[in-house]
Amino acid sequence: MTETKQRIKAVFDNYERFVETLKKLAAENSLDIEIFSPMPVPEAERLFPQKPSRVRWFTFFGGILGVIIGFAFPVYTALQWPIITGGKPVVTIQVFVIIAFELLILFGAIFTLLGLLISARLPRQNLRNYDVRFSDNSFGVIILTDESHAAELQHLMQEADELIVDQVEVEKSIDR
Amino acid sequence: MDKENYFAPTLTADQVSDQVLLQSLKNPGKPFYLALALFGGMIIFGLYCLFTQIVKGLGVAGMNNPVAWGIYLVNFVFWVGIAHSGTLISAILFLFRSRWRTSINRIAEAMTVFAVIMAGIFPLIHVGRIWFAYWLFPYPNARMLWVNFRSPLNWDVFAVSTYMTVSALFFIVGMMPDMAVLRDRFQGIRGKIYGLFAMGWRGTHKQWHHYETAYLLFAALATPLVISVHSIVSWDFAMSILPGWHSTIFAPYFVAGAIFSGTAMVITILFPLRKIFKLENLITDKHFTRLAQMMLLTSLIVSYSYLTEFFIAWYGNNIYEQATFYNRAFGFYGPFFWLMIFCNSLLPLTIFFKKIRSNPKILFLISLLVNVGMWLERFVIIISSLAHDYNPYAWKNYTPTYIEWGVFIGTIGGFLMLFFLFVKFAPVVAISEVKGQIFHDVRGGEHD
Repeated sequence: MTETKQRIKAVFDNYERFVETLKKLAAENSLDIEIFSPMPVPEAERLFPQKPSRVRWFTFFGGILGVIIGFAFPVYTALQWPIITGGKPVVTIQVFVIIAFELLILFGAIFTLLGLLISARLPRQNLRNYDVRFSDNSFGVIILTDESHAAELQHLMQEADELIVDQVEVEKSIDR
Repeated sequence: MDKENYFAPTLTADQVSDQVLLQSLKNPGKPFYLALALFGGMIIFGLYCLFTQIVKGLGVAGMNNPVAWGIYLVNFVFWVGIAHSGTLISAILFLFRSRWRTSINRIAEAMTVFAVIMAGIFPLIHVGRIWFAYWLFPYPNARMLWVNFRSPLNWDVFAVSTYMTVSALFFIVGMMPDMAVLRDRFQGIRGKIYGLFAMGWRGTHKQWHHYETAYLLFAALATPLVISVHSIVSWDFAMSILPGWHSTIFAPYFVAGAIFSGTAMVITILFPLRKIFKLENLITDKHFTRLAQMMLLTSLIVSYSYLTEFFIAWYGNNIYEQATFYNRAFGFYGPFFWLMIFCNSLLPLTIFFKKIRSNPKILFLISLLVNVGMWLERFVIIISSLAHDYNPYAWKNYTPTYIEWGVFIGTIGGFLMLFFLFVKFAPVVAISEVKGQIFHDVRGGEHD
C-alpha cells in the first residue's frame, strides 16, 4: 500500500539559520522529519525530543547475562572436578566475582553494540534521503508531508540555501 | 565546565575535515615509507627470533630457575600499561567532560588497541608451545578438564581478552560517523571499504541520539574495565607469596603506573605526528600541557607507591621483605632501580615548572625517558624479586638473551607499523567531535 507525499529537502550551509529553522519547525505538530548533521546537534535533541534510547536496555540485560554466566560457568566447572586444594572451598565465590565482573563488561559492551545497530537500523546499504554534503559542513532537513501542508512548511524553511520539493511514493506503514 | 578553547583560534569547521582528510589523500613521502620499511625489518627480526625459539625450544631465552618469568612478561605488563591511557583519555575524560580530550582521543584509542594486541602476544610466547595457546580458554574437551578459575593467570586471560574486545568495539563505534565522512569523499575500492566501516551511517538526529547513548555506555563500561584490567595484571604478582610481590598496594600502584606510562607514550607519539601531518591548530601546546599534568599526577602516585613499599618493608620488620628491598636498591639490579627512580620520580618533577610543561619538545624528551623508566619498573619488580627469594641456595640472576630482545623489538615494530598504517588510512582526529565543539562552544552557540 503506497501513497503519494511531498518530500521537502532543505540544505543549510549556515548553522545559525539551520537552528532558527528547526525552532520554527518544532512548533508544528506531528511532523515526519529527519534532521541530518555532521555532528550531534543539541538543539535538535531539545526541539525534537525523543524517548531515551533503547540501547541502555541492551546494555543492562547484556550485563546481567554476563554476570550470570560469569558465576554459573566457573561454579559448574569447579563442581566437575570437586577436589579440595589448599584447604579452600571448591566453589570460591569471591574469586569468581572477578570473572563475573569481566564478563559483565564484555557482554554489556557487545550488547551495547547490538543495541546501537538495531536501534539505529545499521548496517544498511540504502542511504535513504542522504546527501554527501551532510557529512561535510551542511545540515539537512527532510520532511515528508501531505500536499495540503507543503506550501506552509516550505515557507517556514525559506531561509535554506537549497530547497527541493518532489513527489515520492511512500509505503504507508514505513518503518523509520 | 571547562570552557577553554583548546584549538587554534582561527580553526574553522571546513578546515577540520580537509585537514584530517587530506592526510590520507596526500602521498606521505619518502620518510613515511622508509619508516614503514624499518618497522617491517623490526617485525621480521622479531619473527626470526620467535621461530628460533619455537624450533630450538625455550632454552634459547635467558629464563632460568628461579627466574621463570623473564622480559616476556615485563613486556606484557609494559604494553598493557601503554594501552591504559588510551581508554583513560577516551572514556574517563569523556565521563568527566574534559574537553581537551577531543582532538587526541582517536589517537589514544588506536594506541590502546594496538598496544593490547602486542601485549596479548607475550603470554602466548612465554608459555612456549604457542600452538597450544587456546588451552588458556575454557572449552569442552576430551580430557574433561577445565581451566582453573582460581588462578590469577586465568583471570588475566579473561581481563585482557575482554579489554581487547571492548577497546576495539569502542574504537570502531567511535569511528563510525567519521568513516561516513571518508565514504562520501572517496570513490572506488577505498570508498567501499570506508563504507563498510561506516555501516550505512546517515547522521540523522535519530541515529545521533542512539549513537550518543551507546557511546556514553561504552565509556561507562570501559572506565571500570580499565581499572580492573591492570588490577588483575598486578594480582598475577600480588597473589603469590614472593617478597616484593605479595603486597596489597599493587593494584592501585599498577593502575597509576599504567596511566603514567600510557600518557608518556601518547606524548611520544603525538609530538612527531603533529609535526609530520601539520596538525598544529588541532593539537595545540595546551593539549601537551594537559597531558604533562596528567603525567605529573600519576608520577607522584607512582613515587608514593615506591616509598610505601620501602616503608612497609622496613616498618613490617619482615627480614625477607627487607632483604628483597635492600637487594632491589643495592643488589645486582641496583643500577636499573636508580635509573627507574630518576626517570619516573625525579625527572617528571620538572613538569611543575610552567616553562617546561608548555614546551612540547622538552615534554617529548621527558616522555621518552618515562617510557624507559616504566619498562625498567616492571623489570625491577618482576626480575629482582624472582632472582632473590627466600632461599639463598636458589638465588640466581637473569640476563635476557638476544632472542628475548628481538621479540620485544619485533613488537615495537609491529605497534608502530599498525599505528602508521592507521594514520595513513583512517581519520586521526575525531572529526565529528571537533566540529561539535567548534559549532557549539567556540562560536558561542546555545547551551542547554
